[in-house]
Amino acid sequence: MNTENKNKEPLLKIENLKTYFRTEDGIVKAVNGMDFELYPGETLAIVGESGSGKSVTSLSLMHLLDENGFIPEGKMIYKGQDITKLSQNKMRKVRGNEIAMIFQEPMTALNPVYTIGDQIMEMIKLHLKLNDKESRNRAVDLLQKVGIPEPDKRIDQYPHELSGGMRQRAMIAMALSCDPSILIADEPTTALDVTIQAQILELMNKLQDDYGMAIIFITHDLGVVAEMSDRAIVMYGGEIFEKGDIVDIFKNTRNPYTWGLMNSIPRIDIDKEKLWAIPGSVPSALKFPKGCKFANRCFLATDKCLDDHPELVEVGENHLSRCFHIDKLKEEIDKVKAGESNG
Amino acid sequence: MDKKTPLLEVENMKKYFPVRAGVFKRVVNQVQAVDDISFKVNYGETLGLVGESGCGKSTTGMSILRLIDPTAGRIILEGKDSTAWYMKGKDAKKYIKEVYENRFEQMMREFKTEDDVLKNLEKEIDKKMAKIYFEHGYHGLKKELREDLNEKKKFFRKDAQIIFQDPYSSLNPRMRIKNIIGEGIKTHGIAKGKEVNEIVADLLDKVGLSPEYIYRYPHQFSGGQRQRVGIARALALNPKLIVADEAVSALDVSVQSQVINLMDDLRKEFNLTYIFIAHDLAVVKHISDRIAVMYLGKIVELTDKKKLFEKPLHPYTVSLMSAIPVPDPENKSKRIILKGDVPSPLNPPTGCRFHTRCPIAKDLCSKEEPPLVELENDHQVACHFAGEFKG
Repeated sequence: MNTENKNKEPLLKIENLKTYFRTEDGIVKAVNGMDFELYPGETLAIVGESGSGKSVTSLSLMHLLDENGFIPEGKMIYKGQDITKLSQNKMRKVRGNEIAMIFQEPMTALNPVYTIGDQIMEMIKLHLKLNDKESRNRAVDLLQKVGIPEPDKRIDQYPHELSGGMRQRAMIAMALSCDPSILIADEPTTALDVTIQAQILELMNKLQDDYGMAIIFITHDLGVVAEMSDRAIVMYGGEIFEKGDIVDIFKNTRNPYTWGLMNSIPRIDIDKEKLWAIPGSVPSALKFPKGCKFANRCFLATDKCLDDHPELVEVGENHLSRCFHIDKLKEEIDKVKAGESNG
Repeated sequence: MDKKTPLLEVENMKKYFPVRAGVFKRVVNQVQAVDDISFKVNYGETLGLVGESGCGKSTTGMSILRLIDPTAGRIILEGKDSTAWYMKGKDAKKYIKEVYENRFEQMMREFKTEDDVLKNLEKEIDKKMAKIYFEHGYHGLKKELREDLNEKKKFFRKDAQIIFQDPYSSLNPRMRIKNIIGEGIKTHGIAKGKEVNEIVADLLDKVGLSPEYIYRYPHQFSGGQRQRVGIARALALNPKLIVADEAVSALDVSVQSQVINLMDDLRKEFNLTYIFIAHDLAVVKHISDRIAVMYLGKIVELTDKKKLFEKPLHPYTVSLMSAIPVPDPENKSKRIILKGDVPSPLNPPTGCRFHTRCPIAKDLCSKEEPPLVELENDHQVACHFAGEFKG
């Protein structure tokens, strides 16, 4: 994947993006220096727990931040054009048309007082300037493509008349209505049952083959990441902790946070006597340690970690990690494996 | 207590919710949330109930604890029939007549002598009740089932506890931690005054929170800490049975593993029995000894963990397992994608409830409902073609 990528122009390039929020208690640095490129047709996963800044990254990209949010630094370059400072008016031409987004909770993302057809057709009319009849035909086609049975009837139904899986399909139809080159999926299957999740993931893979769009897949579910993506970014406390090809991230983990995360999930394919536990919980946004953000929960942390801020360093081909103790990690992992668990 | 008797035995339990409509709020339909399920929970084991939304797993948990009353069925606690404890007089009379009196009378006509009737009754509980009936008649039964109700009902409010899914809505925001956890201790008269605080502090320590937190309010805790408070509350009365209803579903991955490990440790320390309800098969697999897979109000497969994962027999179980994404990018196994959505429990499909989505459904499946039968040793499955679908 990556060797091909080198010859291609990135579709989207994010450089040192910072997104802060003004709050009563001070400035919250939700995203603090995000860097990545997205190439045409690939799937990039952004993984993290709540409060890691993974959703804020995508909202910054879409210019959908709340009023107290602002971007003090950084660049977002889409197809060679800097969209960081684009006015809402100009952004409206990009949003939906070029970069589309699907959300976690289809019930709250869809408007309950309009039929799903109205909502899909609104996008088509706005961006593609088609007339009523043409846009309706296109909407029916789209609903058919996303696997909604009897699309010509369903198009006149309201969101509450559809099941959760069907609503998510309708959202995907809406996102695809203008042939976007980037689709941002923010936890698209988290609210769904596993068998429905499998349907939606399969659908997204198929649509990516058909339409060739790049997908940014935001999720906390490592299973979904392994299944769907080519590359992954692991975030914690608004920073990238590890970035690389999906096989490197899972099989050649070079960051204690990523490693802890992977070992703390129960798995159906492997029997574990006891789960690895990362101590404590994600601190509130203003209370991260001043050095490495993960220092207070890390099993490798030293005094240096508490005081100094580690940089993202290259640990392999296209593989980056943010940690002072990358070499020590491997030894420690072997030790832990021998002793199985940290209790 | 004889440990061979299961702690809990549920027989043919049903829970229907009426759907009312029109001016007179007449019952026009029923949601068959739980339809005729039976299972046992032994002392010290963890039974996992797993299934997708709407399969009735939470309703089952609530019915067991009598937070809602089941529509039909018998719930036997430590060898005692608890079904009639929460019934009104008239309903209890009907229940005793239907479940015991009429049956014993009919058996008397068939087998003639009381001894033969006793020999032909399979269950310990039925034998016991038959003996009482033959000695004291209906009133003996009534006395057995309906006397000292306040004392008996304590099982559900003291010996059985629940941990809820959402640690934000299950703790009263206006109560301090010491009162949230200590309320039950005071109500049941286990301790008074300062002693309560000591017990609460001790419990906090057990669940990994600082004992200094007893004067705090719930909003001062993170989600994972609140769930620990919920666990401490459940432990406060030294229960025998804990129903954990999606207890770790709302937590972040790193915190989820802490809570799972904690529950595992506490089980050993306090000799607890869990009914662990969750939609996440991987979590259920990790914590349970036996697992019941539910689909649309029915148990479709019930066996111990090892058998279930090595040799799932029901096509739904097979599909469910294959649908879970495995966190291993080099092992992208072929998925079985089930068609369509889970049907509504208002109008469940005829015959086997899974036939509308089943990859191997045949004509028979839409006509005849497969009963839950023991195919192999301790491996129950409800499918006409069990074991034929391998994925």
